[in-house]
Amino acid sequence: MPSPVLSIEGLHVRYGAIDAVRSVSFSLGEGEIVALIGPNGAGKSSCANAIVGLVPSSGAIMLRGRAIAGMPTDRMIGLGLSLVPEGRRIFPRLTVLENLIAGGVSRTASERSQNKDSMLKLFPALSTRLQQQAGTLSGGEQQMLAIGRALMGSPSVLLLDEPSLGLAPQIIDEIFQLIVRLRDRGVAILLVEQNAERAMEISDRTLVMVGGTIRREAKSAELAQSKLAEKLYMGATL
Amino acid sequence: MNSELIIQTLVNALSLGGTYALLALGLAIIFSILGMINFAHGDLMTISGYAIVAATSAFLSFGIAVVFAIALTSLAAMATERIAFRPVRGQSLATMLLTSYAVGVLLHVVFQNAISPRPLPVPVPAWLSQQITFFGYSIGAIQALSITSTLVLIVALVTLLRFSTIGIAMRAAAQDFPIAKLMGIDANRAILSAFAISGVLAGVAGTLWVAQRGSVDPLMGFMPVIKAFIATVIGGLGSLPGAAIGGLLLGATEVLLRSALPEAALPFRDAITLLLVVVLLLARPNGLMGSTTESRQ
Repeated sequence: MPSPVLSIEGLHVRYGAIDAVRSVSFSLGEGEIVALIGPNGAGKSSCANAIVGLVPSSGAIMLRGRAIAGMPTDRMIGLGLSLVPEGRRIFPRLTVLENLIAGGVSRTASERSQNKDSMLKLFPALSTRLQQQAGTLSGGEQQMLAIGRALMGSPSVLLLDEPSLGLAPQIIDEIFQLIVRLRDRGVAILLVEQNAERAMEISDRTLVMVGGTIRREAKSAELAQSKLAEKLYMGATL
Repeated sequence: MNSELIIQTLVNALSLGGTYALLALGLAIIFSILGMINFAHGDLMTISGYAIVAATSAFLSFGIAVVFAIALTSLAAMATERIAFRPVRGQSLATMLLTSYAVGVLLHVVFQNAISPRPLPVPVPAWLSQQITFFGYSIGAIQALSITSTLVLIVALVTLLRFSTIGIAMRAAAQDFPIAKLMGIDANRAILSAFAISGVLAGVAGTLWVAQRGSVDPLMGFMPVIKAFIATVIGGLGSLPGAAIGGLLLGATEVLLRSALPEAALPFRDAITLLLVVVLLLARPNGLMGSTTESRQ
């Protein structure tokens, strides 16, 4: 395994009396895609949100050896960590261009303009719609914008929360190809997905989460063959 | 009505409406980010009045006194954010609302006891009370100044919010606060900037207000902020274009009623205005530009 860029030790998320995430530990290496799969309500999104500080949690979170747990979210982004949230959450009443600029606030003006240019090469579909209100884009375009917006902050670690949710298979293909390209550029990626089969296709390792804990960690190819993931899903409706 | 009178009424309507619009924009910019109506906003306006009195009595020219007053009001707005509003940020709406009310009451008490409970005269330069001729029509210099500064300020505000990075960050924060943080937007900085802007708007509105009345008193900001609040409701809470339009409409309605109503009905002017507001809200409960209050923290 490549040297870890992000490592999580004993992550715990609690909502009132419910333990959504129970002592979860894993790490992400440079240029690696790790899939975090599991049934609805397993605690996958809570994990992702806790890492970036959007929900309170306990446990250790190290980004390139630096402890970042408890740090304000906006400062983490400046350190190269980013999350594409579930449901895309683009700013609907800002234009496409303004969404991208908002995503690059943590960078200098020249970095931002450089990132914007490379973003438009990556997403040619967006380049013709820079002045369009983001809320009027199609679901697939909104997902691309959400990813592009996160990349504007030049993250070295990218967390993607359900990027395939509600999208047509053809669009999912496009998004997943893009994720692989980002990995090839050296970005460490945590792919939170309910679409386990697809996630295992492009990831290097897979973590199976059920009931707030990681039940199994394995190479994605092995796990996909063993059908173990399916068994772990049993009893939980998908 | 002759054309002279029509122009005069129009100028008065734009002038009063413009001042309401500036105040309403100040309220709306805070509301759009924090979801809070800042009832201390009117007292910021009063601060600018006292600042002019202080600066002119220190023998500064009126122009410099105005710049000083606007800067001081903006700093005061930032101070209220830092001292009073930041500690209660993220608390319930009622807590924030009461905090803003408390800041307002506290400022009243300070004005009454530390300055004077009675109105203080503001030495307005003579040229401001003169008439100027514009395309053959004679209009008041103060009204002309009021309309011009409203226009300039609205254009400046739109430019800032549309084209500057901090402006875009503030609009992003207004739409989805947690996600704005996720973009690396410094929430404290965005909110402090919003207060700084609302302070400038209150400072300009306050200057125009005292320049027309020639005096400042501790409760001066009370009625205007209520009017500005009504204006933001007319326009749709949280919408900046709505606040500007609401302010202009409310000011225009008041001026038109003042010139159109028969003498006996004049005391009911405010009641009639508010009745019209009620009718409008029955037809459009979210106001004219009413956006929803989605994704508010």
